[in-house]
Amino acid sequence: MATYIIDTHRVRLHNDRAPDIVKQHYTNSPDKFNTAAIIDVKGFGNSANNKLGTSENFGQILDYLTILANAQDGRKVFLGLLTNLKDAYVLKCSTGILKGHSRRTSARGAHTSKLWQYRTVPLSVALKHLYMKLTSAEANPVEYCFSDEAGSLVCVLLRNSSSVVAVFCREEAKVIVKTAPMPLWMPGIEKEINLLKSL
Amino acid sequence: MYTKTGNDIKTLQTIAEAIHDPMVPGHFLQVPYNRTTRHLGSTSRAKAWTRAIGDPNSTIDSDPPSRVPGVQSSSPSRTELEMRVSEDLMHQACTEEINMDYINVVRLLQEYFDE
Repeated sequence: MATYIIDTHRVRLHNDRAPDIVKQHYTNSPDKFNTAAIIDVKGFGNSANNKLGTSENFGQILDYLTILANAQDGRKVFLGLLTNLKDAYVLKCSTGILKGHSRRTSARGAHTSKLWQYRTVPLSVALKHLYMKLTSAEANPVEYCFSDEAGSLVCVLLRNSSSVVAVFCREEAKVIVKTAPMPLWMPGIEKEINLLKSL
Repeated sequence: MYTKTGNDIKTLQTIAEAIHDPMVPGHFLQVPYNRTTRHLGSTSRAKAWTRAIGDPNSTIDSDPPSRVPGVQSSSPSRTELEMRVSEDLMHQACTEEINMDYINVVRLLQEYFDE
């Protein structure tokens, strides 16, 4: 699986937000549908008052993770790293946890979510933690079943519960390709193809 | 001549919606909402964080696991790479974020996460 670390600190890509760095799969063009983890880098400051673990900094990471959770339906675990390149925090948000597995749920509905803020550790420890967590399939973006004939993926434009639309590069041309996020919806796509052919 | 049925029109609408619908969080979302996953405004991030981490479901300041179940220990060469890249990254630390050498930081992280 292709993995790309991308500098996005000047790129508005996540609902107009700009995380500093993203770990991205399947394409080197950043999009919120293929982002595996976000990394936000801060200066360590020149006084003792410069703290990494502020509510503002944590809130920024939570904001990015929320955007990923909204974009990546079906994924369970979302990870972020907040660091000044000396120390670091790993943040984790798990979604789709069945209520009843915990007695301490407060959300409405059958599922709930859980947020972890791990304590500050040296960067080397946090990176190792993040690396290990990202070996799990549930902590990574779902790979969509596009046809091999589509070409090479440029970026995913959008997805909803029944379809995914992406830009591909094929024979030096950009093409728009649509697929279903789950096999269940493939007959619908086939029906659309047949209809378009008949027009 | 092909005559469109009601189902065909519905299919055409689906195609059009897939291409033109703006991304609206929650529109297609099956990720359940609660206080930790609600979409947040950029001006209230600190408040949103305070609310989210105060949720009974949240865990604060937990120790990172020394091992993740199902993940094997790194090979000696991998461990050596991790140590070296981490040290190189720490040398990139600077007082002001605006002076960050993102190109080098990204290069080092790419080396770290390459599989």
